[in-house]
Order: sequence, then structure tokens, then C-alpha cells
Amino acid sequence: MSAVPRSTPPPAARRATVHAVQPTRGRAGARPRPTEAELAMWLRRGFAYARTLTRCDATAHDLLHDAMLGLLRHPGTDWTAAYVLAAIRNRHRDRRRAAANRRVVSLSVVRDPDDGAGIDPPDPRAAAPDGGPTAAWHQALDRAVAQLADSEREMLFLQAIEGFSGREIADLTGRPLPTVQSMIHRAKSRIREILGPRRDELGIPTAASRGRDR
Amino acid sequence: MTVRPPASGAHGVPAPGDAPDDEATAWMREHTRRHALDADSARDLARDLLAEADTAGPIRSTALRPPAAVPDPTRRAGTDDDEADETGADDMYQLIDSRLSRGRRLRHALTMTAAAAVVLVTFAALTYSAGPPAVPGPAIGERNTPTSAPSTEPVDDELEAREHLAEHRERLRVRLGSAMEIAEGKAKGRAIGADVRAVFDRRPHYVVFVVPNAEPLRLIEVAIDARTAQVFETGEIEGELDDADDRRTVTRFIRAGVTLRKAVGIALKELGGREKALPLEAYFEDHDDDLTIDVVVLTPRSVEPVIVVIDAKTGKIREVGEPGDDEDEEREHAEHVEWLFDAARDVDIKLTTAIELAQVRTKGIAVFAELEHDDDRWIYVIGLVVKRDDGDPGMVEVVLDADSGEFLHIERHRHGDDDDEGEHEREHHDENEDDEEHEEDDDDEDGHEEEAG
Repeated sequence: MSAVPRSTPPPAARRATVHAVQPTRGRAGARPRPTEAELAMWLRRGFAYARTLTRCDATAHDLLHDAMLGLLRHPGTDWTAAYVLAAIRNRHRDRRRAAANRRVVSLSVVRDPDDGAGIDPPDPRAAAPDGGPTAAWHQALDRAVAQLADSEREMLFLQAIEGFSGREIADLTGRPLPTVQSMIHRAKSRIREILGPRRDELGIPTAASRGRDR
Repeated sequence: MTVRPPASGAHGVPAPGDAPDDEATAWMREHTRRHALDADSARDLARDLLAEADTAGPIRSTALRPPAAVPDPTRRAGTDDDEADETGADDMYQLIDSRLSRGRRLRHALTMTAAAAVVLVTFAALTYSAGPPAVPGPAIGERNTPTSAPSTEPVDDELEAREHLAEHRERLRVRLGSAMEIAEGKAKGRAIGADVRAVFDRRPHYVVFVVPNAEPLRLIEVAIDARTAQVFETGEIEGELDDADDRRTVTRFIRAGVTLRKAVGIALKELGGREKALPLEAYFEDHDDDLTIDVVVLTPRSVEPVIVVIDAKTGKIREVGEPGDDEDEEREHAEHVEWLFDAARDVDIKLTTAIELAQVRTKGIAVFAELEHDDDRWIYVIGLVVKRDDGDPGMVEVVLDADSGEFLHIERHRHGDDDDEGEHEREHHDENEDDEEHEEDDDDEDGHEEEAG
């Protein structure tokens, strides 16, 4: 249910312009920079999000580099998850727009690496000749996640990895709360639909074995 | 400074005391963990970034202005341009704001847009007229057919808007209010959000989110055919109201003084009634305990819908967003154009000269050119079509310094039938990028060929 009518306003975009997470006024004074260790932590967190948005390691690296450099250079940066992730998200949006604009005039038939559509080639480790059920499982998992709609994948990431509430995700992405919840629900259902029937074939770890692993 | 860790289980590592994950969440964590940035790389990158952040001057690039890219929520409350300084925009933007009136910036925006259009049309014309000798081949030719050229017919916006509205009316025979009523009856509850999907597909429909009038709090999604009013899908969004914050928010929605259906009625009345307006969406919004209902309505005035913001407690209209009246987007665009305008005026190598240099260097014809800011310097990115030695057509992308005219990067693309199998050759001309080149080599999985500059 992700299709949007042709002329409907980009609801997410329009709402995002109004409600998206934003540093509040009067907070633009100089703030301390993170230490190297703290920044490394932000980079790991930011990379995971950037990769979820772009589905490509190289593009995620570029995106993260640009966004983080901007945050470091901006004296008013509020080093909170909402702020940092919003910066990465906005930078990603800008790059996609720029890529889209360029495609219109460039006559280029090159798939732009920044268009977010690039999927990393299969992991050679996963495709190893001696690849057992684990390798196949990982490959199937990557494919299943890649099959999610971009927005669904992002919402699921923000909930599952960042632990955001639906309302926090709604604030970050500019989407209404019910839509966010619906998207997460659909993303989970979709992954279960794809991987569930192949559970035995792929040797997917069960909840019980995951519990033991912990 | 403390860095708040992710609320739970980031990067695939469940936090102690976490509730057991559902299967899909666990899988997503596994996927993320496998593709995570390793700790050593993160530390190296952190060190490099901190050093890089100190070496460059003030931010000028749009790439480096996250706060400005995240619009200010308080703008909706009737703020004006003078307040832009406090939104976190960088020094350059503040300077522009203080120096230029809104009107002047818009004039610049229009001027630049017109200039860009002239440049593009000129090059399109040049390419079209001179295309075949330089770039034979059906792929390029097809893309240069007159059908893709901009239309010279006058566009009647109002007529287009009326036709657009009529088309929507035809496809959405069931109105949003009726769909909400049906959904509320079906799920025996109160709607907190509704929108239209797939208007131009085989089955245009509404999706209405309803909270049933019974404990525990649940969220039901109801899909209704917009032509027949048939409910063709009903499902509970399970587990997504587990978060206390979300439950509190949804509770506020269902206890609001104004219902979603009533808000749609208020919006329609404001815009001239059912005959003149067609509602497409309605949603509760809660921002810092300020509850509103946004109603998105199509009118005969523009193909862009209007957003009516209604106070969810009193039912009073707070704001009617005119089509295209997005102050943040407009401001952002105007600032960006102004910034580009200044840069285009100040750089030593002008666009026309840069294009000539690139055409001479590559023996190609420019099809696009863009002034960009990258790594604290101004560059031109110029795309050209060329005829290669083997006769195949190809695209070349040239990057040159806008102040020195130095060629920084040349990338050639040659493509077969399958884009993914295209060959790429690159020349780098930046002495400082040796390390990056090696990194690119490592990462490059598309068969790029690097040539020393």
C-alpha cells in the first residue's frame, strides 16, 4: 500500500518540512564536539542507517562522510540520535534529488550510484562453494530485506535497530503515526512471508536458538 | 557530553533486559549486524573526519548544512524570513538573509532558473543538430527525438487543475468521509488517519486507520474500494502499539474534541464545499502536545492539493496552505540559488569557458554542465557525449576546478545493452587523492579502470 496518487502531495515530504526533527531555536550556540571514541560510535550507528537508506556500502560511506563532516563543522550540532539521523536522512534526500535532476538533463544511461537503487553484489563469502545453510540464509536474508520498499525498510530499521517509538519515527520521517505503524507491520509481515517458508531449507535460527546464543 | 545509546539492541546486539524480539526484528538486526561498520574502521574514519573538519574553512556547501536541510517545525506558526538566522543555517545563509530581501532572492531564483533553462535548451539543440556525426547510435538518437523536447504550447494551469480534479472525482466515486464512516462501522471505532492510494491504478482505494472502542488499545487498517465502497481488506496492525509513547499519542487522538470526519467537513466548507473540493487525506498530528488534524484537499485552482490544518480541540482552522506555498522549500531553494549565483559570478572560469575546455579535451559535445561545491572548492561537472576510437558512443563526465581550470577527474562510460555491464575508465588529476583512489580500487566492483592523471 505504498503507492501514492499522482498528484497527492508528497505527504511525507510536505509534512517533513513542517514537523521533522529539528534543532530548536536558540540552540545554535557552539556545542562540544564528540571525542574520537564518541564519534566512532556515531559513525557505526550512522553507517547502519545510511546503508539501510542506500543499500550500498560505498554509497553509504559517501553519505555518512558528507553528513558527519557537516555535523562536525556546524557549531550548533546537537549530538542526539534524532539530530544526527535526521542530518543523514536529509543529506540522502538531497543526493537523491540531485541525482534525479541530473538524470533528466544528462541523457546518461549510467545508473547513478547515488540513486539509492544500487544493491551490493552478492557477498562472495556467502556464495562460497562450501557455503552451508548459514551462507544461504544470509544471502536470503539480504535479498528479503532488499525486497522491502525503501520506506518500509527504513521504518523497520529505526524501530528494530534504533529502538525508536512509532511517534519518534513519525517525527523523524514526517509521516503520520498510523502510517509508520502500518509500514513497520507490513515490513515485518513481508520478511516473514519471504523467509518463513524456507526456514528449514535455510537453517534459519529459531527464537529458541537465538535465546541460547545470547 | 554523553551520547545516548540506541534505545535497544543497536547493531544487532540485544540490550540486557530486552523483551524477546519478534522474528522479523531479530532478522533485521542480524542483517544490520552483518553489514555493520567494524570498530577499527569507525575509529580510523573518526580520526580522519575530526582532522578534516578542522582543516577546512567555513561551510559553504549545501552538503554541509544539516540544520538548514531539516526545516523548522515552528515555521508553520507564521514565522518570517528574519527568523531564519536562528534555524541553524550557516554563516553564508545568514549573510544572504540579512543582505537580501525575499523579493530579490526570488528574482535571482527566477533569473537563474531561466538562465539554466536557456543553457540546457541550447545544449540540447546543439546536441540534436550535431548529434549524429559525433554520436551515432539509436540509444542516443532516441533520447534526442523532438518528442522529448520541451513543449512550446502554452500551459493553462487552471484548465489542467480542473481536469485533474475531474479525473480524481471520476476515479474516487466514494468520498473520503464516506470511506471513514464505513471503516469506523466495520472496525467499530474511531478513525485517526485516512488516505487514498493507487488513484490511477486498477483499484483506487482508501486506507483508513481505526482505533476500536474497546480495550486494549488496538489499531485496525481498513482498505475500501474507492469505486464500489467495498471493504476488501481489514487487518490489525499487531504489536505496533506496544510502546507507551505511541499508546499515549493514539489515546489523545481518539479523545480529541474534533473527529476526523468532522475535520474533513470543516475543510470542505472552507474551500467551497463538496462541489469544489475533493478531500484526499486526513490525519491527526501531535507535536509537543499540540494536536491538529491535517486535511489534504484537491481544488480546481491547482493540481497541487491544499493542506488545511485544523485545531483538533476547537475545530478552528489554523492554516490553509496554498498550493505550492511551502515556505521552507521556497526559502531553501532561493538560498541555494542565490548561493550558486554568487559563486557563478565569482569563480575565475565561467561556465561557457569550462564547457569549451571540456569539449576540446574530450572531443565531445556537452549535454549538461553544473557548478558544484565539493571539498571546499568550486568545480564544474560537465557531461559530454563522445565518439570513441572503436566507434561506440560513450558518455564522459569531466570535473574541472572552477577557479584554476585544472581537470580534476575524467570518467568515461561505455555501455552495452545492459547498463550494469558498462565499462568505466577514470582519470584522476588530483595529487591529493592518491589514497582515495586506492580505496576506490578496493571498493570498486563495477570494473572501473583507473588511469593516472
